[in-house]
Amino acid sequence: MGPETSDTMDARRDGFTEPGPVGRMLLALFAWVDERFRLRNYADEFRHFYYQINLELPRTHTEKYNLRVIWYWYPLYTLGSIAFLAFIFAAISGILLTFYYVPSTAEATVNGVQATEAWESMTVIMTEVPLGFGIRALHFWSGMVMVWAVVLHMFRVYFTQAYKKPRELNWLLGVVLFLLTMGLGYTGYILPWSQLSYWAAIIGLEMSIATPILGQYLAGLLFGGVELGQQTITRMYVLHVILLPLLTFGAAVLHVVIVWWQGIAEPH
Amino acid sequence: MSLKLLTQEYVEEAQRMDSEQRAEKTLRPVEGFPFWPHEMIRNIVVLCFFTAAMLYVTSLMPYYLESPADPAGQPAVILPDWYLLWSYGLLKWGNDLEILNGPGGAWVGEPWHFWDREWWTPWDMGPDTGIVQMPIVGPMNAETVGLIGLHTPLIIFIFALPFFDRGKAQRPQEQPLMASLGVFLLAVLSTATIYSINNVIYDRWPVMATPILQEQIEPFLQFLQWDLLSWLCALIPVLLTVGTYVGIRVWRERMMERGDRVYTLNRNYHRVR
Repeated sequence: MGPETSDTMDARRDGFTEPGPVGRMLLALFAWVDERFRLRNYADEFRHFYYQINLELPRTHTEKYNLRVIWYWYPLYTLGSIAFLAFIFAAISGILLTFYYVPSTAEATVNGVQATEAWESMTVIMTEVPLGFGIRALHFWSGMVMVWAVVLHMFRVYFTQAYKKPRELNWLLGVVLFLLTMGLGYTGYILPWSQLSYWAAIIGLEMSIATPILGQYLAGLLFGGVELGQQTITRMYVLHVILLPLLTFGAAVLHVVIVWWQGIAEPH
Repeated sequence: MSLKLLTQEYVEEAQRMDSEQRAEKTLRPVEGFPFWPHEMIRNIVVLCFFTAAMLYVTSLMPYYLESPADPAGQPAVILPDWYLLWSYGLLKWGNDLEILNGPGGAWVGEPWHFWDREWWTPWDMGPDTGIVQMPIVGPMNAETVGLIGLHTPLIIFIFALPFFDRGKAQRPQEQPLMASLGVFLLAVLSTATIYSINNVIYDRWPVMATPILQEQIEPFLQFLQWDLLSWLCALIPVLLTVGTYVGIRVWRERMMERGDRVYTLNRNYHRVR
């Protein structure tokens, strides 16, 4: 530290000290980015946001009224987080699975068994890819857990009536997320093109054809026609890997952000 | 700057802004428990356990691979994944709802093969029947009944829920009607799930196929097959719903008589809110 000047004395009076080596590095990094993106324009807003989100420290109902009971249904309040984390797990393991999965109904013979290329790639994942069976298991179980968590979360919200004002729109978003979860599960069920997949696809196809007026168009849109084939698996693949995950992620993030704004409906 | 100083500055700044905004009355009263950091800090603990459990389950129970698809070889039992069984069950109920289909389709006791057109269409809607086929009104095929008749009210109820159920009450005990309605929904979805695999159940536990009062009911109500399974599926939701409603009312009366501390507090709490 150099000789005391009026500048440094002023700074010390304000509680400011010289930044250390790490601080100087961060400052240089900030300056580098700031020169390009003018971050300082937003600094005040960031600071305000940073303080704003931590302003309120309200007490729980239990604290406020000095109750001697604890909220023993608390674990039910973590179901939303569990569903989101399960979705993240499914996304990560799903990305790994797409490296090996082939969405094709072209004929292939595996050990003398007549199958498709999709099913053949599943056998490759299960037997040849290192830990492939584990990645598939993680994908499967996180999907199962996500569905359970979403359903239970919905019933928790219903029975504690957390959908009431001001949370109506978030309830609607939650219903959309529930439907998206069902869609993710169903499309994923079709992809291996196994016996169960095939006949589940038949059920879905029949159901969409049976829809009044729109039946044919719906079947064409979702299954690529009124018969199962390559088009079906392509559509299911695109739905399961791109469209539905993106929609689910966006809706889930919005859902959580709204919860952040509005707070958890107070357990009591 | 030390962590202690930083914290101190942070808290002071937060309190200053807090009181400033309180003075300006721009701070709305908090109606919920804060998501961040209060709720998330507790959640993170649970999430760590969840991650561990997930990896544990995954390593213990890898998922198997089904045999490849064989369009010619019809498996004996075809089912969607478990979380869609409720929907499949509603479809089967739609198939049973012959009140809407007219007197033609006698399906009781016949083998069910959903891959036949007849399974889905109990009422023959061919041109020779002379009945004008309309999409929604009039004779409908089973899938339309299941899809439109049973799924749509459910979806509408779920979507419209926050707009017709209003007010401040937040506990099942305060709204016995909504609570029993929720129990009814839960029970109906569960029994629809069970009923969707009725073939498997009849196969494994033949006692479930025992007809009860079938001859007496059939002329009036051609809905379920009125065997033991159908009776259970019909009665359990009703019993649970009535039980919930009566139970909550009785519990409330008792709490009021006793002047229970927690009950009074909660009641006052909702009055002031």
